[in-house]
Amino acid sequence: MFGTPTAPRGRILRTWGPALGIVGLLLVAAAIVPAGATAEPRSAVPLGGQSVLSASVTWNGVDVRSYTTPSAALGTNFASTIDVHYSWSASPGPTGAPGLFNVSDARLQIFYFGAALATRDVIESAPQAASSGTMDMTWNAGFLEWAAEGIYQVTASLLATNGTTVWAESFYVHVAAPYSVLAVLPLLLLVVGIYEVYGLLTSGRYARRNRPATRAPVGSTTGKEPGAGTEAAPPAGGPAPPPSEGGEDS
Amino acid sequence: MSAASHGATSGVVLGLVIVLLAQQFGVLDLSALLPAVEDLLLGAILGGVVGGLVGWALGRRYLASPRAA
Repeated sequence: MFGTPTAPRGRILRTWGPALGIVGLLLVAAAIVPAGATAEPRSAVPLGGQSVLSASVTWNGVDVRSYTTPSAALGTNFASTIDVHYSWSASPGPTGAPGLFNVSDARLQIFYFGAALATRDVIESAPQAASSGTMDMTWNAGFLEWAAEGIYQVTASLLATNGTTVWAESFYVHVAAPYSVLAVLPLLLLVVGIYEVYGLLTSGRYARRNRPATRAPVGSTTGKEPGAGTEAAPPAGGPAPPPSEGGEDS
Repeated sequence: MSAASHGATSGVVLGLVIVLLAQQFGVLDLSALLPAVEDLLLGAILGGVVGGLVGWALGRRYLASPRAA
């Protein structure tokens, strides 16, 4: 009936539940981000005196240096294995001889909301100091093929034996889902979006009268005409309006 | 809850969904944390305001209709 001072718990959950759910998911995602995963990718870092290590990376044979902005992302898909090739060399040091670097790890990371969505490492089993070298990585995206699509930042880096990053480069890939939309995340978002559009278009049903409703007591025989000064009743057979809460405005 | 608050709630969720969908369809980049959170907050606020206005207008229309009289 009318005059209920608070909204029913079910309605509160139905209206605020999706928003709270998404905010909760974001908080959980932020909480589980590893501390090191949120670090900004580093550019080339000099080691070994004045010598600087420079490197290039190819993604399925394509040099990634041209894809360093989201608007110029490298189109790819996760359906097949991705071949990543690292090639590095050291510039000459103060004495004219190239510096020596002990590169032991080639790493590839995909970032989403600052967190590493996936990390792949190729570790040299017996690293030796050298002035140049190459490393090859074959990467299978696994469940990501069916989970998500869109633009992602990828960081390729080379690590020394002591764990420090001696070189890193970030670029962007535009991942296409199988059959364009067959990924879980966009489908889920589309379903939630359609549900909320329906909720928005039907929100007018929750409008309430401005003036507080009064109703004659049941069984009253005061001679008052039926309907005068009473709350509007739904038409017979029609859909029942939501319960009035004695509030105002629409 | 009023029609305006119902509309605002749906609008907030829609704003978040639109931002996340824009990333999935290659329009937005949500790789870094802070810009991504800013985009989400902007979407939620805009969605809430627009949704509230739409809900308010629909509520007015509902009250003016014979069904609500």
